[in-house]
Amino acid sequence: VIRSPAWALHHVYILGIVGVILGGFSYQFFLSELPCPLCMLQRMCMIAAAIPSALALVYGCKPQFYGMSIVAALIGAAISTRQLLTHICNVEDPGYGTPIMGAHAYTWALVVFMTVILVCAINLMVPSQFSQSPPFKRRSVTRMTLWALLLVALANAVASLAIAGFSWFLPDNPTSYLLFG
Amino acid sequence: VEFSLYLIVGSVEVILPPMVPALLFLLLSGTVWSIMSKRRSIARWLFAISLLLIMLLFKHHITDPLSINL
Repeated sequence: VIRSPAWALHHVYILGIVGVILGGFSYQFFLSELPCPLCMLQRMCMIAAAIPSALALVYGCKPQFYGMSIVAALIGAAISTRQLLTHICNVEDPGYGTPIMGAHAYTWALVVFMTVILVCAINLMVPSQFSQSPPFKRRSVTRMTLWALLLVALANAVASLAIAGFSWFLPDNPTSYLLFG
Repeated sequence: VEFSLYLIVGSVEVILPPMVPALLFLLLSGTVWSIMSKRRSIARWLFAISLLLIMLLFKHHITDPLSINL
C-alpha cells in the first residue's frame, strides 16, 4: 500500500498536524477554553505548513514545497515565541489556558513548528525523492488525508466566526461565543 | 521607505473585511480545495496571499494593546 517513504511521510505529516489541531478543538469544546487571537494565528500557520505536503501528494515531491513549509513554520514559530515570551516576562502570569503535560499550548505549538522545520530540513538532504518522483496517484488514502485537512480548516473558519461574531477581529480574551450572544 | 511600508500595511488593514480570522481560514480551505481540484498555480497564489495576510494579522495583534498581557 505504501508507495514510497516520502508518500507515507507526507500523510503522517498532514495527519499529525490535523491531530494537533483536533487536540486544540478538544480543549476548546470539552474544557471550554476558547482560543485567543494568537492561538488562532498558530492554527492558521499549522494548516499553512501542511498545505505544501498536500501539494507534494498531488504533484510529487519538489524542494520548493519543503521551502514553503519552512516559511509557514517560521511565521508560526515567531507567533508562538511572541506569546511564550510575553507570558515569561510577567512572573505572576500563570499563562494562557490549562497546561498540557506541564507546558502550555503555545509552547507545544513552538515544538510543533520546530519539528516541521527539522523534518523539512532533513528531507531536503535526501535528493533521491526529487528525481524519482512522478506525481503520486490519488488513492483513497490520499483523498481522505486531503479531505481531513480541508475539513479542519473549514471547522476552524466556523469556530472563529462563532467566537468573533460579526466583529472584525477575535476578542482579546474570549470567554463566550459572540455569534450566539 | 519605512513610511511607505506603513502606508501600504495600514491601507491593507483598512480594506480587510470583517471577520478576518474566518476569512483567512476560508482562504486556507480554498488553497486545499484548489490542490484537490489540481489547480496548482491558483493554489500557490492562494498560499502566498494567505501567508501575507497571516503576517498582517499578526502585526495587528502585536501592535495593539491586548488585555491578556500579550
